[in-house]
Amino acid sequence: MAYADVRDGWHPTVLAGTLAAHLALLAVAATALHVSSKRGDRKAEAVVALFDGAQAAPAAEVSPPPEAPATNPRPLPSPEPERPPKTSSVSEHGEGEPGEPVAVDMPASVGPQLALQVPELATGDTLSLPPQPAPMRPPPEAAHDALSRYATVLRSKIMAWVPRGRRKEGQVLVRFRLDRGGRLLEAEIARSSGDVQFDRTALRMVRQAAPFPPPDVAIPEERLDFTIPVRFH
Amino acid sequence: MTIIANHLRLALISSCAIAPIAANAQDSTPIEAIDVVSGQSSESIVETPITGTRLERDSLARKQASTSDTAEILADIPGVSASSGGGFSSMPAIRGLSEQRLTVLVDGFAIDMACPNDMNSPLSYTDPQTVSSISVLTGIAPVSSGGDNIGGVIAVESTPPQFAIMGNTLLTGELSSFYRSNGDGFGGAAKLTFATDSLSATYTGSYIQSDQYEGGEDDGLVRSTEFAKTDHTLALAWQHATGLVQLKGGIQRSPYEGFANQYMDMVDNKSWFLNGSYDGYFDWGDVELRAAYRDTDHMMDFLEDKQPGAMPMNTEVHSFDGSVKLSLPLSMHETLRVGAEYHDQWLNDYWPPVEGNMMMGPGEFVNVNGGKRDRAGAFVEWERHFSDRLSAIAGVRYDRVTMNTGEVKPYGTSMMQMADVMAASAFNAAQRKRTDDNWSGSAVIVYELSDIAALELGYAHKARSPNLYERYSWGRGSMASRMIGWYGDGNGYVGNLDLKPERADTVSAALGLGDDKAGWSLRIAPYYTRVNDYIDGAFVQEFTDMMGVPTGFVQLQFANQDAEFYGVDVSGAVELGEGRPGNSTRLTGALSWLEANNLSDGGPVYRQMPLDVKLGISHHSGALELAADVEWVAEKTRVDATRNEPRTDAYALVNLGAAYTIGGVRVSLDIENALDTGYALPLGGVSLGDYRATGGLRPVPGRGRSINVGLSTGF
Repeated sequence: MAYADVRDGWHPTVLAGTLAAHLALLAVAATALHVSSKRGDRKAEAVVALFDGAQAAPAAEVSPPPEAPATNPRPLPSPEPERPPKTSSVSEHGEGEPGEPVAVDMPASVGPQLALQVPELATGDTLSLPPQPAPMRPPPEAAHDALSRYATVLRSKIMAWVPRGRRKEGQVLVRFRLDRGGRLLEAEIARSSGDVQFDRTALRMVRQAAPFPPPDVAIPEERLDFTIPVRFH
Repeated sequence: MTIIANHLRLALISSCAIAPIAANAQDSTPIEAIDVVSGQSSESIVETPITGTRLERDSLARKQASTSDTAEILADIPGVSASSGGGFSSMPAIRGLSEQRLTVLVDGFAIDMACPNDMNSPLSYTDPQTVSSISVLTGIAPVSSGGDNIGGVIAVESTPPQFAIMGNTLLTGELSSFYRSNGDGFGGAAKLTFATDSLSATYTGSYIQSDQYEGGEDDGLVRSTEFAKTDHTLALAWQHATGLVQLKGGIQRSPYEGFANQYMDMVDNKSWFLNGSYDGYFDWGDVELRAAYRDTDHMMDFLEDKQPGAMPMNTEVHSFDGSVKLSLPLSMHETLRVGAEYHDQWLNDYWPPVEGNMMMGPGEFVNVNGGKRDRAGAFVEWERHFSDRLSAIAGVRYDRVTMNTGEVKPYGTSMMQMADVMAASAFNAAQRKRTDDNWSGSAVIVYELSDIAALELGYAHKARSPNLYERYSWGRGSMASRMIGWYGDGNGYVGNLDLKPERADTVSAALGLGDDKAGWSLRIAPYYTRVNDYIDGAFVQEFTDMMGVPTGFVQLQFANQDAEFYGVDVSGAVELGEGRPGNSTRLTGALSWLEANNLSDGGPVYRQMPLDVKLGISHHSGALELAADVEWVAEKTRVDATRNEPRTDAYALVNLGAAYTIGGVRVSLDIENALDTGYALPLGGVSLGDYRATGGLRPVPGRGRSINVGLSTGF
């Protein structure tokens, strides 16, 4: 029962077992990395159209809470009629990345599409117009002023929901769309911070701040689409 | 059906609509960015910003070459002290409260006591080389930070997950090593992370080893201070659309750790754990699910300095921990937190017989037989920000602690073992199941008086149930009782089935002054704690040698007494000279003063740090870092007479350090105790390792001069 020699007491079997266990764990980790890096590549290609992927994913996946607001957009404008002629390219995207964890949901993505279509009809442009119709009619001065005033209002409303006591650093870009009543049609992460906590917190700020005051009538409906960066320091 | 059909249609439409969105994203009206800055004290009230401290990796890295003992690093924080144990097992005390009176969390989980001498305390499972950050709440800890404690909170985070930037992969790591001349200590650590933007795997491993150290001046070798330990952890994390899933597993093995102030040494400690957690972030709030399992096998016996002889003592512990916490924003100013926790500890403590030894044989000594300590708790906490300047947090919690244990037995039934034989039969005949209903509450207010001044006020009532050894240690023989106790005083302790939970009321105030631009800060934090039923030791008998002469050691029984603790913590910093970018000179200072009285016997409470003053100056200039620190500790005259606690003299220590970063490698050279001052550790207890070898009893001496070299790099 002498323990004086314990300090050399590295049992080879224990050591070997420990090493083996760690190698096994590392192998698992490496496999996970391999799988995920493959996915990562795929996503990298889709970076520009980031929200597409994200959007397709949740439809197939879970993410119930984001979906909730999606019911709101329904009662809105009157938009269902138009079906853009791009189905094929879309579905390619959509299939590509199920399970992409990156950004979020946005079932309500119908919104922007509607917005685009409405002015088209209003101005009598042809339906076959390629997908860049927005800048076609810059808002007049009055609308511009009203818009910047309104943006300030939105900012201060969202700011009121700033979370407290966050410590890490990151920057999130949130994109959201309102209807004429100031109600939130959709909100999504346009650019992730890389940290799900920040992404979700920034998104929550916008959702909690809604509904907003109704926008000035001078602001054209297609301009009710906003982006706001949220920077955590 | 119509609804479903409509949903389906909507889904189809939305999928059709996907592509144009991206194309038109630039049409969005940009709004000016919002900056979320948590600079103000009142904003981070849950972390008690004025009395709370957070040590980040940087400051830990500067210390890792000098000590492998996390608690010793924490002792730099005003209000925190460390009671020496083994080389990596010091026990932290916050404002005079120590041991299980504090909540100590490692990666969010409590680690149960698994030794009658508390050798493998929670912080012994951490290594300064690999710890990522440590948060310490010295003031009023909100009830959401944990139950079953009456003091502050120490939360160690080892490896928070790292992820790559969107679409990329990340490979990053750190390597470090050190050598300490005093005791020939050396060690190293490695950390490696592979990650994508959603998956992350981190391996962390470290090894440390040291021989006995030498005291300062002519204190000579301090026996039973050697140690070795290795830790390995693999952490996996998956970040998805709404949350973060983490899975972490690891092992620790310590083949030996000497304890200068205990009769026993740790001759083996093996522990493995598996932690899982989920953090979800939803519109309605945040969700936190946690579960953990830990298994520890702990063995004590004598290392070389306490040889010859043997006395194996084994402890096995299994713990399970699970919790659910919700954080619900009620309005833009209010958050409600609710949570439920469950913790289960199972402990076996048995001492195998020593062949041919009349005292320690012929059978096994069963110290704790399947002891169980289950805790179920729940809390509600409300946080409100009344204005930009005033915030408050208040909560209540309930913890139900249920304990029970099986029958016990002494080594044998000879005449020499009669004290234990009788004690065992009394213990076995007694009803041993105990249930405690503990209520706790806390309230904190933070008020920003001006741009440079903030005030933190808090009150808490907290309760802690006795641990398994306090209630269920039963041996009354001299030797059996001297095996129990984590006080380093050489006395024997007997458990007490009738112990009640400790109940503490604390008031704490703190004034924080500071101006970031002008580069100065000052914090002053007084406090008062009154503990009803404080678990202390009551005198039972004096130990005598063969000749009937008192040995100076006594037998005590755990007993509920009343105690009070009061003091003040002060800290400050001033930026000296021009602050060119990458160039700074900083003067720091800290002072902790505290007194603690046992109101039942009228004497001081055991193991309280005397006045401690620290002054430091540090200079950074590009790649060069220089530091000089002086610590002065007053004479310890307030000692616990019940335990024959030794007095210690005043002393001053000087530490010097320099570091240079070249080619991404940081090389550091520290001279610790530069003047080789000989001194006794005020919280070190008595040096039983030396006593056994030399027959002379002295307080445990502090470490003499040591030249420490550290290397670290990251990629």
